[in-house]
Order: sequence, then C-alpha cells, then structure tokens
Amino acid sequence: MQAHDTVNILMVDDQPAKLLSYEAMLTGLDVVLIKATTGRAALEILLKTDIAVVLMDVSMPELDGFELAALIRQHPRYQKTAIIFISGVHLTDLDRIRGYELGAVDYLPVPVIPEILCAKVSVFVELYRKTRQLEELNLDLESRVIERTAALQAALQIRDDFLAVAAHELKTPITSLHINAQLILRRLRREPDALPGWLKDQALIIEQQSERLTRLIEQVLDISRLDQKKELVERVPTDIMALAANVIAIMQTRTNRHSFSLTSDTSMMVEVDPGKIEQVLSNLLDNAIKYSPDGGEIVVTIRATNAEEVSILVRDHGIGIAPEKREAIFERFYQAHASEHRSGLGLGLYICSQIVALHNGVIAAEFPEDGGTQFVVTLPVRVQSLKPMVHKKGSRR
Amino acid sequence: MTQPPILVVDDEITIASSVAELLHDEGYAVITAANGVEALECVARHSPKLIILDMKMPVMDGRAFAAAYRAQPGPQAPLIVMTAAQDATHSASEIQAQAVLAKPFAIDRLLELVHLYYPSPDRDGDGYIEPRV
Repeated sequence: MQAHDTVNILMVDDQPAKLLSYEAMLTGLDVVLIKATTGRAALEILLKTDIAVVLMDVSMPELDGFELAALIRQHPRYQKTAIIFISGVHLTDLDRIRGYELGAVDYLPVPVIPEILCAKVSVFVELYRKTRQLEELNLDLESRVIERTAALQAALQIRDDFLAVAAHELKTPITSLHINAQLILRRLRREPDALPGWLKDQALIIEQQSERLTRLIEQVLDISRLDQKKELVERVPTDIMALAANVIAIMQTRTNRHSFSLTSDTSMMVEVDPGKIEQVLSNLLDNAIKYSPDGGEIVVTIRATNAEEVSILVRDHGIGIAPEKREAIFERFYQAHASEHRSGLGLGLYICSQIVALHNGVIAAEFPEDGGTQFVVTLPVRVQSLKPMVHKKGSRR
Repeated sequence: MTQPPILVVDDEITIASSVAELLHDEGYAVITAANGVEALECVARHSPKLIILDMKMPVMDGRAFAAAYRAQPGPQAPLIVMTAAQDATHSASEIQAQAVLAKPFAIDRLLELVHLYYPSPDRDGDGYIEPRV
C-alpha cells in the first residue's frame, strides 16, 4: 500500500507564474504536484503517471482546457478523474454546462482564493484515496475468491483421484472373489458330483455379494462425478423396451422369490444415454427387490404419455415407504429404511433423480392403495423437445 | 504346446491364475504374465493368438505394453482388456483393443469374447483368425 499512497496532482496552465502560485497554495497538502504548461505536455504526463486531480486553466493557446478535458476523458483510465477548471474570463452558464458535459467536477473563478482551492483539491484527493482503497479491497477480495475456488477445486480433485484409486484397489480383490465363486458354480454345473451340493448356495452368496459390493463402489464414484458435474449424458436413439428387458434379465438372476413382468404400449425409440437409463432402472429394480422382502411380482410398464414423453413405471408390492418419509426419498444420503437396517448408502434414488434430471426428465414416487411403491420415470422422447419438465414435488396417491 | 496359447496379463496373481484355470478348462493353452515386460517376453516366445490384458500394472502397464506390441511387425493377436478403471471403454479404444470387460465381470461374458476371437480348439479346430486392428 505504501507506494500507492502517493497522490499526484497535475496542474496545467500556459503561464508558469500561475503554476507557481498554485504550487504555493497547495504545499500544505500531502500530494505530489506536477506542472505542465501546454495541453500536449499534460497529455504526455497523463499517459505515464497516475493522476488524481487535474487542475487546469480553461483558456490556453493551441489546446484549451475544454479540448484537453475531452481528450483526457477519452482515456478509459481517466474517465472518472477529477478536473478542476480555473477560468479568468467570465463564465456564462453555457460554458459551465459545456464543462460538466465533459465530466468536469468543479470550477474555480479567478482570482483563486487559496483556501477554496485547497479545500476543493482536498475533497477530490480524499475521494481518490477512498476509491483506490475500495478498488484495492475489491481486487484483494477477487484474488482471494479465485484462490479459495482453486483450493476447493484442488481438494475436490484430490478426493476424486483418491476415490478412483480406492475403487480400483477395492475392485481388484472383489474381481478375484467373484471369479472364484463363478468357477465353483461352473464346476458344480459341469460335474455335479465333484463337489458337495451345499457349496452351490454359498458360492452364489459370494458371487452376489461381490456384485453388490461393486455396485456400492460404483455408487460412491457416481456421486463424486455427479457432484462435480462431470457426468455427461450421451443420447442415442434407444429401444427402451429392449433395454428394460435386458436389465430385468440381469435382475432376475439375483432373486428367485420375485417375478418380473414387462409390458409396453409403445415401440418408440427414445433418445437417452442407454448406460445411464439402465442404471436408473437397475437401481429402481434393486430397490423393488430389497423392499419386497416377502417376494412377489415386480411390474415394469413402459407407456407413451404423449408423442413427446415416455414413462417407465416400476411397481412393487413390498413394504412401501412411510408417509412422513416420502418427501425426502430423492435426497442425497437419505435412508428411508435406516432403522430396519435394509438401506444401502442412501444414494440410489438420488443418483436416479440426478440422471433423470440430466435427461430433462422427471422421477416421482406413487404409493398405491393396495401397498407397495410405484416409481414413475418420465423422459422426453427427443433431445430437441428439451423443455425442462415441471418437477412434481412430493408424492401422489 | 502344440496350439498357440492365450496370454493372460494381470499383476493380481489370483485373477491371472483363475482366468488361466477357466480358459485351460475350456481346452485352451494358457500362459500368464504379471506385467507388460513379462508379457512382451511371452509374446516373443509363444506368439499368443489372443491376449487378455489388465491395464493398471507395475513395471509396464497395459497401455505401454499395447503400444510396444502394436509397434511390432507381424500378425497381431486381438486384445481383450479387463480393467477395474473407470475409463475402461476409453482406454480400450485408445489401445485399439477388440473388446473390454469391466472388472468384476461374468466369466460367461469372458468366455463369449474368447470364443469370438479365438474359436475354441475343441470345437472349431485351430485356424488362426485375422485380428481386427
């Protein structure tokens, strides 16, 4: 701040004697006085030096005060610089207006009274100092915001890098477990007498639980990508019916107590990111299985709501969601069934809602009279019809 | 070894040996390597007909191995990448792999791919297939 505290006053007058008299009047102020005897000299000084106040004679040969003021104002750095005109000739109101149009700040008639000159200059010097302080504070704030943002981004990057490494390291032993469980199952299929039959159920548990572990790891990674807005959707025309059939086939291998059905009234191709929508559907079906502990039917229906929207309905007949918990189910880390120890990380529905939102779609939960839960995912059929849908908050009956 | 083997490259010995056991069981000759350098030695010695490749390995990773292998003259075996990394598809296309398996994977899916790129010696004889590069 020290070096910046210097305040420069530029005095312009074609008569050196007058400049000397102004200098004498202003010596009491803590400012640096710079003298120029022509408009051109003044402009040169202005280009090289930061000037707080320009004090100038209106009538000068060659370039008069008004013309000089106009030139000064053209420079972006001097658009707000205070200019005090000193005029020996009688100033009509017209002249005065002309001065103010140029952004002039003040006038001083001749004879110049030292106290008035000092007072006027002081006011502008003070204004200049305060403005400069504000600008410095502003710059400081900006640079601090930039610094903090960078630090935050770096921290997020470290977190994400760590998660990626951790996920890789966790998946490696899981892969080993998973392959070996499958090898046992394969051996049992090929040579039923080679191994005891009870091994099958236990190998199945290892296989399924290692898949579950993998899904949990994926969820943690998904959440970090969604948080960082790194998740992008790549939409391609997709046969949503085939996609659903595929996901159901995979889910059916995880349970023998639940039966799945798939019906569709449309063969529409929908422009979605197939991997992401598969993820939404498997999350919803995963929940449907998890929260129908007694088994039962899980119904998936695909319906063309209209020419521009398609809905995927996932209906289970499970334990449902308590009315007071329905509002929060799409929130991050929310576990509607935490007390029953049935929940995972509280990320599944949040990830679903985020993916659906990336598609400009809507996800909602319905709670039919006869129990269970129905999730409804509504997606725009085409990318072009991308008007954001109104999010239906809460639950419908 | 009368038939050209499948090379399985993974620094995780339990994965390499389990995959080897599976493929052996399917009637293939199999050799394993724990990193890219070992894999290049195996390639020089055994001319594998199919390579199943992990990406993240010490000494020489899958990417560096693939680059070195692709730079070699002569017929090239198809590459199947198996990786636990997030950018699996991306890195697989970068090294011009024929297929990619995200770890953990279903062994049936691995076998499908192996049969596709190296028709089983038990069923289809021993014809060398032209790799897609």
